[in-house]
Amino acid sequence: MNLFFFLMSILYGILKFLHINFVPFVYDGYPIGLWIAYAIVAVVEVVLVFALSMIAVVIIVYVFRKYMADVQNRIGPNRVGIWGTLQLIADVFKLIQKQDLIPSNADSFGFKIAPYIVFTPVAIGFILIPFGNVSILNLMVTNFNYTVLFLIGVMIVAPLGEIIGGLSSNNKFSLYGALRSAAQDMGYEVPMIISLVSVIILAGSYSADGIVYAQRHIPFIVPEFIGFIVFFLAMIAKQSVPPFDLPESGSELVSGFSTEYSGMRYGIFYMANFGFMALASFVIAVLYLGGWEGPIFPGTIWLVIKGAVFIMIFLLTWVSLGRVRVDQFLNMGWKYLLPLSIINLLISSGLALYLGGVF
Amino acid sequence: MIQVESESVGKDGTKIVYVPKENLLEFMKEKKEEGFDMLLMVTGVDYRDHLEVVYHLLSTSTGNRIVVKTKTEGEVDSVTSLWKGADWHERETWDLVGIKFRGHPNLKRILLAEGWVGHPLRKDYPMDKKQYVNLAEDGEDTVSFDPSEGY
Amino acid sequence: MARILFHLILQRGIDMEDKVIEVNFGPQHPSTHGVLRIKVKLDGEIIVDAQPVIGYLHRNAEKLSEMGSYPKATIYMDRLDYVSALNMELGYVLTVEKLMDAQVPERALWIRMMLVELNRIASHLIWLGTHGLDMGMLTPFFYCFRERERILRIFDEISGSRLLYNYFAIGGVYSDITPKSISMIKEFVDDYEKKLEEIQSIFAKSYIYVKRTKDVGKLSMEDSISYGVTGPILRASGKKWDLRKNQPYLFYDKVNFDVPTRQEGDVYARFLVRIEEMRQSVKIVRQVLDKIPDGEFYNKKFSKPMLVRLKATGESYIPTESPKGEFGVYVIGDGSTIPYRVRIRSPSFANLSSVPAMLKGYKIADLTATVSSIDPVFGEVDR
Repeated sequence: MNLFFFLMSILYGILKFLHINFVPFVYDGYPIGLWIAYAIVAVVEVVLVFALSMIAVVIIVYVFRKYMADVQNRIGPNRVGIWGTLQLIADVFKLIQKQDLIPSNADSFGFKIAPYIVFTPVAIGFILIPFGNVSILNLMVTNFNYTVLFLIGVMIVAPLGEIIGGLSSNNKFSLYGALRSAAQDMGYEVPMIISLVSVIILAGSYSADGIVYAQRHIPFIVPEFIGFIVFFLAMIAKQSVPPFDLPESGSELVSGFSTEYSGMRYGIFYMANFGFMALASFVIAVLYLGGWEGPIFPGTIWLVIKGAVFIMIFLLTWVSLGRVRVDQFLNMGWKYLLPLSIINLLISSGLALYLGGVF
Repeated sequence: MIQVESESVGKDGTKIVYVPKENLLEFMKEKKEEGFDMLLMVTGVDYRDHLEVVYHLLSTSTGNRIVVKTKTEGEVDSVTSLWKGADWHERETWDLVGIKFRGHPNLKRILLAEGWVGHPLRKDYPMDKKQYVNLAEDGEDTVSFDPSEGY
Repeated sequence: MARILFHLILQRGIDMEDKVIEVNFGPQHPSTHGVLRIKVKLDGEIIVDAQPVIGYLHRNAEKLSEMGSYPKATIYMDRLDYVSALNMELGYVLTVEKLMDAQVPERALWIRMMLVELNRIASHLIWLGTHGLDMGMLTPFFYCFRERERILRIFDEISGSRLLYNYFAIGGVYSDITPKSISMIKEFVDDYEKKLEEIQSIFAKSYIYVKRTKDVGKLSMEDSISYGVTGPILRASGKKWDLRKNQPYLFYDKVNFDVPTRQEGDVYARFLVRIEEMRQSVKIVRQVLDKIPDGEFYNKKFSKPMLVRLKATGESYIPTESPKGEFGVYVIGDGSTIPYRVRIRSPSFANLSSVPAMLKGYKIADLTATVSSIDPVFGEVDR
């Protein structure tokens, strides 16, 4: 049973106790009181998950700064807060009080809306991840049957925000950044979706919960190792993290599509970047490592551990590798990732047919 | 063989030759065939009654160096067809000393802004008159004598 | 947004037949090593033409040198290639000593040689760090600057200043080297090679770096010689030409070292040449440390108060091998205490003029790799 319905029924019980159930009014077979409870619980849960994701972002940014500083033989932020923990909050204050500059000939509607288009998939994505289960309660916000498909649809929107942002700033460097974002998007989208489809075939279900349930005997990284590699590389590309940070190539195109963005608008791009890193690691943990399955500890801690492993792997590639060239990246995407993902699809379809309903 | 006007030796031991400016291109062609394959720099010097152009040549195969000079009133043939590096050096000489090079593909100022008045390395350049440069809307520089219009 | 696209198309005249856009990599840009402006004509991502526009740092050191005495002009030479200032001073000081017929004591010459080689290592370290930054690697920058910090401390101990020294005088050096600085140099030289191995492996073992720099920015040997390109770029294009071996000055004929050469002429070859040059410089410093004789470090006849009154006649040009190529100062003296004409042959000026030949036909992502492999320093290009 879902945590959502659990909380909802508790709230309905409370409302009934307080005689606020509007029994004569019935909509679609359920009393209005139930719908009120539904709405309240929905809003509360979404806000909670969103807050959790923001906390995750804060922690990740802190870890990233300290880790990068250590690799580069220096100390990271260490003045604001104990050991520099409040540095991100100080940065947010700084960004908020900056002057909001919009270039004179820029398309102001597109310019303003682009950061939010990039940020929204991150917020929505966290809603769809199962965080574990406590006896019979599933800790996830929603549980309809097609969560993974919905997740893919939502993640595809993110590069669109980058393109809109780059095109709306009246600046040739931003234009090049936007075009590179489109080029990068083309390179990895298809292999990513194909490897995801092979996971769905093996699991036999479109919902994240079902995929986690299907991995209770063996995590999918074992039968689908090739798909794992493909998906992992595609996730690095999607987050614009070096070595695949072409849209925002720091030293080549000034700052790529986000050249003209300053102040809190840039802050939203920044948070979206790290939020996406968290989301991507949790998605990989759910799809390939078995989500919250694990002995002894409760499920949530296992999911956090697996997600943290991937976050550290992403950070490690960030600090150590250089940047690939656009044509080399597209080469890799179309000539290597795509055939590998198709091979993976064939393997997993064969396994699913052969093994019947084991998963 | 082009006859040189005079030969001498500088304080560092390299041979210095003076060539009349009509024969300059021929002389340089000969030198290039002899093996002087690198043109190191082109200098313009302002002796108060005439100008001189000085070429330093180097042969990377034998290590010989030679200094070729010509006297001129303001115009010399360009050696861009022989060494590609002469392009920028001649532009700089035109920019700072004011010697025109006939046959140069793109004789524009290279170090100073396009509208600058005067050639600074001449001995009679007025050092007290300042010129101000600013960047116009279309990306080109504007130069003027008015301090309010630039930096 | 459709309005923006429409505007761009009308303004730039991009229509189906004529697809060449002109983009300006302006003077303010995080990856051009200083104030360089490149006007690039692009066809999609392919560079059709690239013209550098220079002059943003022009201070006319040549005219300034004509307004003071001979020792005063040494300061202007410092500020040309500010990352390896001692090489610049050396070129000027050697020429003026020829003009004044000055005898320099041996100890001063050995000291000069050692410090010039240390400066070469410092200059190549800056190049390595910023080259990594241009390629997207953030980490080698810090490692290189940590090593360079040790060299700067040595210079601080010897000459009193970290970056712009004014240490080479006409007739010697201005102050002696102290035993403390000798021990610092010994310490540095002892473990530098291990650190260099570590830094080199970050680049050479990174598949991404090698793929991005192999066969990029090729310059053939004939083109290099025709453009007047010297230094590591010429040596990476296949010509074994190093002024320290071919036309030795100071005491370079008395120490053993190799001249690294590669055949390909691309960015990766230049990287390898410079790394190897750093190793050879360390070898030279080690040998010089053992060979410095005792004695005077300054020719007393040229002591400072007298120096401004000394006259020089004739003209001379002594070329030296700076980290960027052949550097020399051509001085014409007319018998007075003020130079008549000072002309600086800066290697980065000639190297930069070969950029159009190096970039034609490559992609725009190769632009930063190529320009950073030339290692231009704009104090030198614009003087």
